[in-house]
Amino acid sequence: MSDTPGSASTLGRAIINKYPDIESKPLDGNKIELIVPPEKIRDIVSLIDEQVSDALPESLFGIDLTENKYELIYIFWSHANKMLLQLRVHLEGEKPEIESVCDIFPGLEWHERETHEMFGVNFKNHPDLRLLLLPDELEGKFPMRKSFVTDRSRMDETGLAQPKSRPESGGESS
Amino acid sequence: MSPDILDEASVIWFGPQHVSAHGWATKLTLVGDYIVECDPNAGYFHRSAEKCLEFRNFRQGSMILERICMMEAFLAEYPYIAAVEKIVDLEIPERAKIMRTIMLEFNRIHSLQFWWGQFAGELGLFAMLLWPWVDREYTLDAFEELTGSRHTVSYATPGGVKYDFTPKFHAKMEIALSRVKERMPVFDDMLAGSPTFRLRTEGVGHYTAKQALKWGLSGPNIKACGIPMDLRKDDPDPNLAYGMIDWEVPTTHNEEHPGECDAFDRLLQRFKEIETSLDIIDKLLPLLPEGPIIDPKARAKVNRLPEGEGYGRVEGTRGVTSVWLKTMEKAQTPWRAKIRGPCFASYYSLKHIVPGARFADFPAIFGSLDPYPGWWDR
Amino acid sequence: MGFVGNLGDIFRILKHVFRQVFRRPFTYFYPFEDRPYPEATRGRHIHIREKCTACAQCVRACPVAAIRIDKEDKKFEKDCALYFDYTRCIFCGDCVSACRFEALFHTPIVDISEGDREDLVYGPDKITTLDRDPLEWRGRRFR
Repeated sequence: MSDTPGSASTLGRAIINKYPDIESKPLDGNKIELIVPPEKIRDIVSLIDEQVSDALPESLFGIDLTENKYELIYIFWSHANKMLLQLRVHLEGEKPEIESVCDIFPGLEWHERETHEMFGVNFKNHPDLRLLLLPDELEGKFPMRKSFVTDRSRMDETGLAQPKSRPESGGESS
Repeated sequence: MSPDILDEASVIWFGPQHVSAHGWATKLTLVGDYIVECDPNAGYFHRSAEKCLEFRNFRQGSMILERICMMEAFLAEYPYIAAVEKIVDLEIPERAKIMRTIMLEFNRIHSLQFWWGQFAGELGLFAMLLWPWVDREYTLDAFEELTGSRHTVSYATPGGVKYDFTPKFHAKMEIALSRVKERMPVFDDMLAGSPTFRLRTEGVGHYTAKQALKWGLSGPNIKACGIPMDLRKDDPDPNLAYGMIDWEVPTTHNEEHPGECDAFDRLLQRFKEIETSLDIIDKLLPLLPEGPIIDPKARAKVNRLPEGEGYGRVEGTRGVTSVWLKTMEKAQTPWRAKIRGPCFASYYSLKHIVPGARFADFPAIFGSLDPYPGWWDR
Repeated sequence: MGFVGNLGDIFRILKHVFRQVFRRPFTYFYPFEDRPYPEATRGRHIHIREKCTACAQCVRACPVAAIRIDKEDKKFEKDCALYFDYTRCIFCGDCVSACRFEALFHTPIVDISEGDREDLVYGPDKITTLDRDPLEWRGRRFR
């Protein structure tokens, strides 16, 4: 594979040369993190698909940073280059939206479905956004958001003094 | 496919009650006995482990992970510990590193032994269902001698391991390993040497390496295509001892279709995995030094973690197993913990592999991918 | 190949069958006979109140909130009463490794099934005493 970049920093430079509004941050080892604006995600993922011929879509998940801020993390692993690529996308809003990339990497289809039901991130042009793991009655409740309050009554039974609980910002309890 | 063929199609649910479906449900559309559409359904085992982890501290978290996949309990809990060790600086003693590696490989052997039985059972060979499980008992006895529990060992802890190897454990491990070595040719003969078995698995469940990478398959499922993708070699965890010894990543090459694999190749690949694990244990046991097994400051350091992100990965029996942790400043519990199960991808890929196969081949296809429901439902 | 040709095979199978019938089974006759448990087995707990200092580390370490502490109930100078809920306990061993005063241990008793759900909550009386050895009540052993 002569056209594949050897190291993570080379690939990072190649991507930044093409799309200058992307920031990169080297991690330890042959790993790199790219901070990608949401509207560029399809361009970057298809560029990775072109440049790294054996990219393995390892993971895609969301993080709730509270106050309607979300992060999406895409992780790709290349065996031939022993390289890990981590894309970070900042999203904002009550119902954040991003383009789906599951036609480029089919393996991310279910990851996107899971992120949709758990965090309420809408993936545009996703073929099939049914519930993956949750039962029907939890549709639209987005249980992995921090505002979803779970039942912690078991902890009161231990007889310990309780530390102060997490901030509850008007979520529905289960 | 013209629509009038689909008029005669019948839709059946394979599972969740079907014996060999392990409690998960796949919706199959059949024309005759050919499957034209496969729609895997997840969620029957969902226990929201990721949300649970947000309320457990860093020593308790691994207990949750163990219960996701009982067959590879230690391999399942290890990525969490690796992720914690990425965030906080801990000095793992040399002895603990080697002990962890030995236990990981030992766990892989018993997980693969379970898989032999399960795969044979799915194809209707019920004598073979129980034979490897008898041998597995010796491995579980050794686990019990060391940790006190047969499946959910909870052996490692951030900073080292919990229990030291004893002479009794060494003796039991010797029995278990020699039993595996002794019985390997028997099983090889029963599965790979049996003409019935070859008929049912050869040429079934084809995919190419390129497709497998796109779907996210890893571990033995992709090594069977001839790609030596193995995290033990590619990206070894600094707190494990895979770098200390010389070993080869096993791969299988399909001679008729290079770069592809079928169910039989995946079966052969898993035999080779056991041989590799035995080889690694044999080479590591003489290297075991004397010394402490845990960093004495670990307990205090793990109470509150600094802000950071850690990505712990390990090559599980079924593929890349990883946990991604995010902590906030002075965190007692993780802010976000993402579990990446290897079978999430392999269950998804049924959607692409199965169409075109005959219905009777369906157990052979999903059995050879080694799915475990806990991994995709978490 | 007629019947006579297969006779040798049939005798071999019969020999095998007879040997298996009169052999001791590989399995255990469970309620009457039990496998030996190693010392490290993580079974039900025993709480030694003389040594307990009511530090509640075991309660904090428990990942499933199976332990309840009652600090008012004192028998000795600074001990406490512990209630173990075995409907929740997952036998992970964290409480035992959290105890720095050697007041809490696992025992090799793993058959703790009860007819009533309430009986599985081991109160301070039950958790501090070992009423039997694992095999004591099971009567005669087979073979």
